[in-house]
Amino acid sequence: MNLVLMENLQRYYGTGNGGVTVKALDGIDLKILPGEFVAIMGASGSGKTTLMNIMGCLDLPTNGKYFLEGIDVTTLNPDQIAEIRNLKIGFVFQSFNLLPRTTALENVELPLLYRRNGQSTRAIRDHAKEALSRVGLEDRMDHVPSQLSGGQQQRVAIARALVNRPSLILADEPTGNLDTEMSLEIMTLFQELHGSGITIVMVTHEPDIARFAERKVVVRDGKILQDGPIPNPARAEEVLKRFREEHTL
Amino acid sequence: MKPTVLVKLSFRSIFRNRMRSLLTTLGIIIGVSSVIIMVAIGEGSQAQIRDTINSMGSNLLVVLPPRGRFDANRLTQKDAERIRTEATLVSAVSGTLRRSVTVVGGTGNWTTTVYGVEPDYQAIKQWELLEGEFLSEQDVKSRRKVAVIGSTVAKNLFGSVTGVGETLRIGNAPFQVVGLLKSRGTNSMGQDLDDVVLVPLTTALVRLSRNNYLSSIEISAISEDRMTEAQAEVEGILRESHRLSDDKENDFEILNQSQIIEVASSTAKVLTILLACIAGVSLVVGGIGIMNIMLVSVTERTREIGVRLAVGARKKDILLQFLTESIVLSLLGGAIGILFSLGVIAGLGKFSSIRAIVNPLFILVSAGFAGSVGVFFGYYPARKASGLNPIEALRTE
Ligand SMILES: Nc1ncnc2c1ncn2[C@@H]1O[C@H](COP(=O)(O)OP(=O)(O)OP(=O)(O)O)[C@@H](O)[C@H]1O
Ligand SMILES: [Mg+2]
Repeated sequence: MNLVLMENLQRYYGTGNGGVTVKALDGIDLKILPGEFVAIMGASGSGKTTLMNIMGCLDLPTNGKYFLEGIDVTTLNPDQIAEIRNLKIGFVFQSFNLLPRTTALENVELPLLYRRNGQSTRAIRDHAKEALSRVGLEDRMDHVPSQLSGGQQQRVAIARALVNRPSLILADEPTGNLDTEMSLEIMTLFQELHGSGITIVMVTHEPDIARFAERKVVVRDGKILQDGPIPNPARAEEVLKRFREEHTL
Repeated sequence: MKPTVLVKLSFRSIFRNRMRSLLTTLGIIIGVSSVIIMVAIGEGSQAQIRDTINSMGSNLLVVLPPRGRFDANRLTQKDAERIRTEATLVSAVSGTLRRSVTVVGGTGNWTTTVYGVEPDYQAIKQWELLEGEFLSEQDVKSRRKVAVIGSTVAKNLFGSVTGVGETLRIGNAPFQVVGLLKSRGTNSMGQDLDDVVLVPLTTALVRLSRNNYLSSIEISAISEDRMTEAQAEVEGILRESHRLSDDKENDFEILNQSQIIEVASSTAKVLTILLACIAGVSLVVGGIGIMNIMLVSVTERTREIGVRLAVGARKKDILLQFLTESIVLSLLGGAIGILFSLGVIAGLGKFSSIRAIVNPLFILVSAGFAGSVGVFFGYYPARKASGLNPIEALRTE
């Protein structure tokens, strides 16, 4: 079954108040299977973020259908949509979006606190620790974001996205604020997660980053321009190793 | 989200901005503590008034000449006698004659109030004796020149708190002291209760009065809940005794102890309510302060709200988070206000003569009120927070 199924999806802005209508998405047909690692590319303003927001149930389409794991999201009420975000989606943002003055561990616990049939405080803590060690930050649990590097902050954000074992991780330019080495670290982590069966959809401007994915979708003016597999995806771990060798004295 | 987590979050957010939170709750602190202090002082002064009036006697009815027309006084000893024999709802009756007189004793003279009374007077006033005995039936009947004195008088006439067996002079007549009253100190109005001389009513009428009219008739009703009936009974007897036809008004006035208390404390009551209302207004102002700071907080934390929505918070979760915060904030303010007011009241008790009575129930009510202020004024900001669009919230800086 398709994890994501979009049929003739449209998202218009500015309709209703008489102004110019912006067709941010204008007829998207997209299928994503479980376990895929998709890179979405396209010029600025082409509609990538809009697409991600709808895919992540932060926004609803103006027209068209969106099925997530077979569920028609457009028919759900706000509380049900919130629950889908909580259980099925993990977001990773360009600007990390960690809660300030809140420790890494507590940031990672956040999605678990909003689970409907909440676990015990103890279980929540253990889950969050597990997610943090998965991204290699078990020794930084008590650090607040301002005490962490950009790459580390993004890893905390990834741990937060992972902690509820979601069906889909959505990353909107996750390396946009990071230097090359940190970007490669994040990509290594993504490939690792992908290897363990997690579905990842990632928006990026950089072809160097996109080549770590297995499938590339190019968007232009709210439409899909190109969609196909990436032959021989690069291995981020190896690229990172080479990069480190070249840049050490 | 679990309530415990919500409360924890609230405390964290409140203590993160310690100074701001304190200043925000200042309105609530002042409001709650002034309400409690005002009401406590109000109740204290009411109790004080009640005590003062109760100290005048038990189940007391007082018959006085008509108000403002003392020249129309027609109260006589015979009236007192008739009440004593005819009234069924009274237990003790005494006519009184009150005069301010200079009395002369062994070591000095002293201007005091001399009361001509009958033996029942002791039961009505419930005064106890330190030495000797009270005026007797026989003393009144035989118009004896005997006196019972208060300790202030004793001190001024005989140099110490004794006097039984001594002689004092009222006018030219020598009176033998037969009893010394137990000291009762001063009442709340600063009046010295021991500055009295009691003599038989009959003696007083002869020596201190030019006519035979009384200053008052003091009566004890048989019980507190039959005061009104007793009052009506006494009124009937007096009207008959004075031969007043139905179309004539009373030529006397009867004061009822519970009415006196009511009248006297009603002023204090109104004042209490007024002050409490003013203090209540400051509570509302405090609530507006909380609303203001919660609105600021929502704006500051827009991005945080966006993150929470993105990871699966429902509108309700966000609403509850901010509502809890404003409730906790107002309850903290309320708690500080309660502690502060209890401190002030304790201080008043220790360092001043102002009496304040703390009603525990009222403390609970004010705490509840502070909480409701939090709900009422926190709802709008919380509502605003929960209505945010996640995408826009995440985009704000
Ligand atoms: N809230 C909005 N109101 C009106 N127009 C909007 C809104 N959000 C996005 N748009 C418009 O929709 C189009 C797509 O925006 P989107 O953010 O999806 O682009 P993008 O591909 O993510 O661009 P970038 O690479 O710069 O992030 C743009 O033309 C943008 O101006
Ligand atoms: Mg974008």
